[in-house]
Amino acid sequence: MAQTPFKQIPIGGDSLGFIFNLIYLLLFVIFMLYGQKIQMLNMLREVKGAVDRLKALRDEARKVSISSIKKMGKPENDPTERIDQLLEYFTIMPSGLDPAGIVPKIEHVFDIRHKRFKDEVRMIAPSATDSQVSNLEGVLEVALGLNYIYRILRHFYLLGKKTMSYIIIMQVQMQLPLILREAEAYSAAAKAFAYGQPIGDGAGALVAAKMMHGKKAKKIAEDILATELSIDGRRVFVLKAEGPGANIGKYGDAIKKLVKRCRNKVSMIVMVDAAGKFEGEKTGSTSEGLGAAIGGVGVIQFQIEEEASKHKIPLNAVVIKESIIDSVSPMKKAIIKGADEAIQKVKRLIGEKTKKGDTIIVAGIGNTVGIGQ
Amino acid sequence: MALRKAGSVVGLVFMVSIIVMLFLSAQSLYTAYSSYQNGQMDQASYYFLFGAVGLASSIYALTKLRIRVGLTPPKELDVLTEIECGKCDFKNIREFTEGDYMLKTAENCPKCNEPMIMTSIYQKEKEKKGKGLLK
Repeated sequence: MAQTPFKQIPIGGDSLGFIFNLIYLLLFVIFMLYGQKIQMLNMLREVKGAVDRLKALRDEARKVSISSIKKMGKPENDPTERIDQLLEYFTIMPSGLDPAGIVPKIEHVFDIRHKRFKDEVRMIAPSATDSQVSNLEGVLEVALGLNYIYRILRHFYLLGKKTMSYIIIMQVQMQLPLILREAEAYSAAAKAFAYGQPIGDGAGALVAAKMMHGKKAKKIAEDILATELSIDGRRVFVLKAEGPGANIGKYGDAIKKLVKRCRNKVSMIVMVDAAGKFEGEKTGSTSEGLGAAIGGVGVIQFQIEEEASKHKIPLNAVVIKESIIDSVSPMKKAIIKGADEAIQKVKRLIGEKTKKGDTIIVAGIGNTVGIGQ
Repeated sequence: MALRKAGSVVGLVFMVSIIVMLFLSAQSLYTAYSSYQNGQMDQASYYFLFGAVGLASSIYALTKLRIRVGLTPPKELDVLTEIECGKCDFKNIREFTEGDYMLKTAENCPKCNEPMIMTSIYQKEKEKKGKGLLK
């Protein structure tokens, strides 16, 4: 019989073989009866890890919000309690049972939300400038978003644990990599807003900013500035949300006003925006298309489409491609290069699709945090 | 509270089982080696198989059990500001400081004393590692 260094333990040789056979049989029975449960426990453990990570990200974003508000707003009282209340803020979308006329209702709800949020920030950060108020709004929106993701994931984790439902646990576990990627990007966005750094979503705004730079800009709608340029004998109005604060602006109203001011004689609208890229596509690459290139809930898109179709104005789009993570993280150099490329495309479009003396509207869409004009 | 307690008991049982399995696998591998030296090839391969499978599965289980939560705060991204002079093409790249924004008029150019402009603010990207076999 073989000599082993484990002599003090009465196993070895045949007795060891017997133990192995027994373990093998036991494992077979255990996996046959409890295999799925073991798998579920393993998945639950993974989900728990993600919930903890999300909690850490949420807490970090909350910390950034509190410190930014204290730093920029110099409040007299501790704003923590008020911020915690804001992080639980919710918006109820209008009923869609009778969809006719729902867009103005959605716009109304979001206008109230925006105003309420701004007022709250102004109240807890009385010394902040307008630009800082916009940035603080951005920080709070990110913290609110992270809190929401955390609460949803925690809900499904606890529900899965309570019910031991395979379908709930499996669905959540399978989506974890995507959820965590987005959450990490949101976390980076919180700091970008707090410091006033440009984010990827501002690619369209950057295009407009570069075109407007050095020229006089005039406010024509809520948070929207317009500059009149002359490109190859065409009259071009460039629109951009007012920067460098984190603004998005009401492009629908701005385009409506401009079309009216030009006596409905607008030959073309070009919209420039950041757009989601597919995996394998290069960040910052650009492409052209048709339609209203604008994200959000769809209200502004609806308004622009309605105005364009009412006056038969061709709607062209130039997009700068980037991932969802790039769009909320500090801007990448490739996106800045993409913006330069987009300017050339806009100019070419104007030259090819319009004639001298025509009026064109170019709208640079996106969050304008960290981008002046 | 009760759920957390039950969870930690399950974890402890798992950990003990893995350690027992590791111990038995090591024992089995040693027995395989001794059997091989004694010329008992059948027994040696039998124990080697059990030892190797046991070792691999217990290491796998240990890696699965490792704490991977990562409660560390999210990493801070390095952001750079590029300042350019429109007249003499002088360029300066420095760390982003609060108050910087794109197209802001910056300090005067050290070469021609003209006001410079912050042309780009972007995140510093990590250097990409060499391509792997599957890339």
